[in-house]
Amino acid sequence: MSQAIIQVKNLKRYFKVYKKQPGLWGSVKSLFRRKYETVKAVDNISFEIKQGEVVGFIGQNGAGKTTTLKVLSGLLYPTEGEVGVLDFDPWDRKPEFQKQFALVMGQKNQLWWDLPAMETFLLNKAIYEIPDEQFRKTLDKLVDLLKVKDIINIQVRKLSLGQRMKCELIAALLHNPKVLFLDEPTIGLDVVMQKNLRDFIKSYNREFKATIILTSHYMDDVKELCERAIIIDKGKIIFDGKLKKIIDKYARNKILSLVFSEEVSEKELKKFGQIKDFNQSESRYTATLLVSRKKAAQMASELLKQLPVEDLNIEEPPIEAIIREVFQSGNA
Amino acid sequence: MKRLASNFLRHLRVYKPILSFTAKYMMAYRVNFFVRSLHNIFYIATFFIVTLVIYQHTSVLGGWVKNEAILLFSLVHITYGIQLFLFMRGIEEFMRLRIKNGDFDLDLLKPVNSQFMAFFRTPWIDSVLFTLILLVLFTRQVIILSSQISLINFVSFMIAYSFCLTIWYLILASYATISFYVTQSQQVFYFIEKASDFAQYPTNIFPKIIQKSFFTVLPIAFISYVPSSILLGKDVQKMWTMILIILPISFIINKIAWKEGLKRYSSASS
Repeated sequence: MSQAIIQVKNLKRYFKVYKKQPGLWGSVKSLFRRKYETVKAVDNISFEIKQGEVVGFIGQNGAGKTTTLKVLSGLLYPTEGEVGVLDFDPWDRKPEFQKQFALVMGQKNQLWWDLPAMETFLLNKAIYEIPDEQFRKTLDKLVDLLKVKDIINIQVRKLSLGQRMKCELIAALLHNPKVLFLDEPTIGLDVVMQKNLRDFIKSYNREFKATIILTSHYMDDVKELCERAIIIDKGKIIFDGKLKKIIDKYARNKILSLVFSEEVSEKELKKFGQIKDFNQSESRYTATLLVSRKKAAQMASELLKQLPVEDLNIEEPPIEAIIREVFQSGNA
Repeated sequence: MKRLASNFLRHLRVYKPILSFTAKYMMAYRVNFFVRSLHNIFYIATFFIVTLVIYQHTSVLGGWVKNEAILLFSLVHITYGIQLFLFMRGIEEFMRLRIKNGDFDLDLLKPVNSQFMAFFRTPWIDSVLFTLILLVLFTRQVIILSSQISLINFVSFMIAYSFCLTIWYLILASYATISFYVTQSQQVFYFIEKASDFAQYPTNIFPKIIQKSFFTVLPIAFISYVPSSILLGKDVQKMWTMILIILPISFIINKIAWKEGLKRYSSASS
């Protein structure tokens, strides 16, 4: 069993925010007296991550995902709690620590806007003290993996969002970080580019045994890259485990997809579960039912007995739907 | 000492590409580059004319004759040129934008001194032209006043000037840490920038209370008055005493202010 490379114990990060009163009069009053409130961005969370793991951080906007990554990167001081990354206290911001990790933020860029990306790579070479040989080798490899040979010498502002993101990744990975924090790296990218980046992250993890924490609003990112997921809601962890287990814990229903050989009525179907979809055309009769997980097998058997079922399929609901339901129902 | 030297050299190595990129960037937008350079020269020329006009009405101001005042004036603007080149734009951007937008995150992630990364990241190359012009003026004044400037005074001045520049930077950078507490704090910067215009005149012509503040809370005396006095042999002992007192104090203030400020940094939402 490999050792935990990231340890978080009872981490809290609160922010004091100014609560503005509405209207002009509110603004005038605020010149003299202001009301503040405490926002618990991260509220007593604990977890450990082992070397080589790829963990997905899932949560709604403002759930505390990015704040957690910022504390782990040493950008923010925690209000309370203990954090260790690669045996360092992140907020000591020791260069030896900073040379071993990278934080990529999908909404912020470190590339110099008016210069080719190559110039930023050279600046990072100086900042991270990367030896010439290592710089050349790593750059060649990353450029090859991301297929950006033709664009690294073009002004950044002339690149597309996807091309920029690829260059951002190169800039962040030139020093071969052991730990990688990816904060919404695929945001705003088209599906093809998202897939390219996911493939790249996978191969980077494989090749460098890098530990990766990924936050994303796209469940495809999490499903394809992460075996383990941490769901965070209102600053608290509500789930930490294998992605598959989210289904066991939160999915209340299974999906029954049915094809009938002859016409059936909606009334007949309603007895078996909640109808999600019902289609009847001249030659084909199909329906989708949501059935309680516990009764799924029994209901399937009853359906086969009582109705002219030609084909039946029992499926788990998609993870994104389960997570959406978790947040919407306030189950968290 | 060895560690300090190696650290200094390391930051110098990082500064080299920063400088090179900024130069490339500025030259890419050459119209802006030339207009800004001309604007700076015009701005300084107006102050120079004011100084000449004052000396048309008096021969001595606070014990400073015209040639000494021109030397003081040229040194003030050399300092402005150096500070613009090195850190002034970085500090202004930091107070106006980088804290508010959370862009400071990117500086904090780098394995180099975060204050260096924040303040020295945007050298203002177009200050080079007017700094060179003022350096010529300064050299001219040194030659004119050479009878009262000994070699020891000159060496003493060179050392004092580097210390004075350090004091000015340390205090300015300490003021910049207000941004960690107050989101929109660039007005503090503009206030200090405006107030530093007083550095063009001998500090001793102002009332005592203002003189004191120019050595302490708003140490603009160190921009030119103190090093010029040392160069011209005026109150050398007093000036050196001030330097040796204020330098360690400003160093400690800067260190504490930055450390505490970083603890308060809250970045910006994604």
